[in-house]
Amino acid sequence: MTGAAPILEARNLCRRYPGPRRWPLGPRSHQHAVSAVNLSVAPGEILGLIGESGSGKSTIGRLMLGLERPDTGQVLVDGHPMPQRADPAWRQLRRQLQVVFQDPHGALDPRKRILDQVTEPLDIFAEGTAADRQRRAQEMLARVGLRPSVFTRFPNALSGGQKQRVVIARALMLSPRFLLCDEPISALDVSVGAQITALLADLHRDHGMAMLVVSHDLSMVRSFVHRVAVLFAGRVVEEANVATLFAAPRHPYTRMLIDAVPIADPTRRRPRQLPTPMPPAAPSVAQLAILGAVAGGCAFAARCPHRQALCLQKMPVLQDMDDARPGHRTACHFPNPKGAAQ
Amino acid sequence: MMRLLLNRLFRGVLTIWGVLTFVFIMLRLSGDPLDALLGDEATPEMIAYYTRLYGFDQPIWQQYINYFTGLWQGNWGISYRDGRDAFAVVMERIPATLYLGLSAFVFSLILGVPLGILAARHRNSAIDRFAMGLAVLGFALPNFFLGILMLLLFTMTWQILPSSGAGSLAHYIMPVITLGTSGAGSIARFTRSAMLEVMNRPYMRTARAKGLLPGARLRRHALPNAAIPVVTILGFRLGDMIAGSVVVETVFAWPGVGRLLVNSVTARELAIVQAIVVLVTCTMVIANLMVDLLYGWLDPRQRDAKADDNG
Amino acid sequence: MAGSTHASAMQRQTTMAETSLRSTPFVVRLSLACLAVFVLGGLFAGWIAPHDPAAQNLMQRLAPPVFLGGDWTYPLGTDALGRDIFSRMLFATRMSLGVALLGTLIGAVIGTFLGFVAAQQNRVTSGVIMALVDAQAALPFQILVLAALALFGNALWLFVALVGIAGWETYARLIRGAVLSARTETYVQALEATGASAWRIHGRHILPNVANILIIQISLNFPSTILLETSLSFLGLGIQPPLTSLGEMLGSGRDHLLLAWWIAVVPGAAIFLITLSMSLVGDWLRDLLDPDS
Repeated sequence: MTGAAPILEARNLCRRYPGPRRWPLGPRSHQHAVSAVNLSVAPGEILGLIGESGSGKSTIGRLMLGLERPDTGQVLVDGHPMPQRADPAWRQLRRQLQVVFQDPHGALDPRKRILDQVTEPLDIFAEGTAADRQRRAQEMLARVGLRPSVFTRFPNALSGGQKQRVVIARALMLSPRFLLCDEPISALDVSVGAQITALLADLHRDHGMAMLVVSHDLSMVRSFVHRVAVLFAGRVVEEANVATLFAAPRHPYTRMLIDAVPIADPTRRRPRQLPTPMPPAAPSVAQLAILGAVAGGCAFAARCPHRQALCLQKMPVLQDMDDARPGHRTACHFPNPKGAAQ
Repeated sequence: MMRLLLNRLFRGVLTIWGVLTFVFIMLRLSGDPLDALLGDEATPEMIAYYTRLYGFDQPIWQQYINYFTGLWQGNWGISYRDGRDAFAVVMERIPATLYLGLSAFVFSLILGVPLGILAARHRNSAIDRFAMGLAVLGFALPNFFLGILMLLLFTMTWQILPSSGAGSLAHYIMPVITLGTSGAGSIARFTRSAMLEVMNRPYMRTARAKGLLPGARLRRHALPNAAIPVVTILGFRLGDMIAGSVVVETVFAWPGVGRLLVNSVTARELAIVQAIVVLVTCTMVIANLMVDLLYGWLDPRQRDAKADDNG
Repeated sequence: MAGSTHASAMQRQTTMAETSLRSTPFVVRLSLACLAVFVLGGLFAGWIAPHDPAAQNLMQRLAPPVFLGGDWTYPLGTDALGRDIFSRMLFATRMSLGVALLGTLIGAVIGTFLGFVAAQQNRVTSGVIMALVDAQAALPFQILVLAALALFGNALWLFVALVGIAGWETYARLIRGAVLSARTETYVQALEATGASAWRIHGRHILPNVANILIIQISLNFPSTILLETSLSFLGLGIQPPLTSLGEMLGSGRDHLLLAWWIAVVPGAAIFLITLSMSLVGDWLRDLLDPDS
């Protein structure tokens, strides 16, 4: 899978948002949401992007889709730079790059019937006759597991899970080659979320589109992605195949994330080797990011149990750490030893 | 807070500038501005004087600048009926309008605020329905119709109140009621909703839980907080008041600015109309600035807010 | 199974509609009926009016209406020139409602359009529009209307345009706010991500979603427009004879209060009834369509 030319590639993406001015008319401070991120998604591949809230996950998703422009760096689509928004090519790309949003309740127009909303992507690109479009929308709605009785209803008559199915159906109407799922189940009940995850996996098997799944839910990511990138304070700190990452995380932050997932089986309790010490007054992620950026050191240093003097002085680079496992890259001066877990 | 005020001040100056420009353009568009400012019976000397003064032979931007410097130096044109300075004619009418407006304002506050508080305290009672009925009536009953009804009853039928003029205290009764009723209605309605909003807040429950008596709760917690939104509509009331005074002064032959405006519009005394428009604009801008100040002073959050937080 | 759920949902909807109709307050139904009478009267003025509204009958000046002992030739009596007040009322109602309707629509269209424009990303245009909104909100517009009428003289089209412009700023402010908040909705972002044009997004999605606000504001603004027209006409600066409006009738009736009070009171009562009914209906609509406010 890694051999194929990537469908989407992020090169050295940076995105910062203007913060408040310290002085009237003075220069604006900036919050770096995303710093120097490199990612690539191969055709048919599912890449998971995990991290805590505020780590820049959603921003990366929007940048990859071309909904926002990076301040520096670029996004390549099939090796070509993402066109400008005013460019007709940008609009044509919408057929190939689609998105499922986090909040299914807000993602549907409250004043339009379900069927009309799912037909709309075809209307926008004027594909086929009106009757044809409607038939295809009906088929897609049936495919995502909705009964015909809900087709003519308004969104407020649907449950959260049903709405998310509608949103997924709408995103797939144009047969995209790439689908961004931005926290697709975090607004849903656990059991409904599991059904939606299963549906997404199912649809991936049928359609074979590449996917970027943004989530803070490790168990969801683990259940159906191929590769995972871990994000901390706007930077990718570790990247690996899903099996490798969960079996042998090298970055202390990844380790903390994985250890934080509860295991339902008491006989399989894992040894808690990291007491995850926190400073008395834990600084926020944003403050840490500034601290890291100002000091030029590792952004995670303030929360890191293995922190040493070097960590505060020098930013670690994301690189291959283990020749036996190519593609497992970690940004840490003092990574966990190989195969330290289980 | 300072920054907010400076911003408002800037907007106010911008508004005045915009209205003056509007008047300037209108004067140019409506025909020969000299005719408009001086009237038909102006002597050739006057025409020559004002042509030189305003520089009508000069390019339009120069005229525009001259127009402003002229206003600044007090050249507002003259009333052609009696040849007096337009500004002076307007100024001598101001006291009558001011007395009427202030009386009506006080009347609507005295009637509206207690009615709103009572309506909120006794929600869904007869008093509440009466207050809200008055609010709807005050909005729907046109002040010119109310004035005429009162004239019919108090002057023509019962002959207990004078119909026109501003001589004595009795002359004030009907104009003040006519001008103040709709204001009283809307102030009552607004006070009521502000009070209801405040009374549902958790700190009111706390005040009750710590044993404060209803009167003290009202005085110390509800009123200061409800006053903040009520103050904001006082600025809006002034605009309605000025518009209303035009009608009321006409109905009751009150010797104020409003009646002067109507007469000047009918007689096309443009110099006087211009002076009144500028005066009213400045009054409104200053009043709005004062409401902003009052608002900031009443609301400690605004008072202490830093310049960056004005959003 | 699926079909039956659908049918029961339909049933639920009809019963909801029925309940809302049945629970329409009596006052609101009365107001609607009252408005209907005036609208029909104005609409069919030409057919209903028993006399030519301009025909003078100097033998029958200041005749009393039926309820004061007059006869049925002139149901509401005659004015100082012996013209039939009932016929004049019909045409005056037509004029007042027509000017107010046209004025409200002009204000709504201009305001809605500028509100949409002000909600776009261009900071210069939106800044200019919002400065205009603030300026208009800070000025008593009636005074400016008077100034414009003084400068240009009175013409019906100018008067209607001025009455229309009076209300635009409220629409612009409301619509801008509604569009800005609608644009942050995820469904709008989803449409952008699908390549929908700005016209499609604003016209087919945002406009229907802000339509409630528009309907409420129109119904609340309509009485103010009527009052603006009637008070200007009352002052003799709006609708001019030989045309007539309710305000003009009231204004000219003012001179004959002592001898024939009904000339002024009948049109005044009509204005009062129209504005009262309309604002009651407007309040009811707001409660019905916008439960949040």
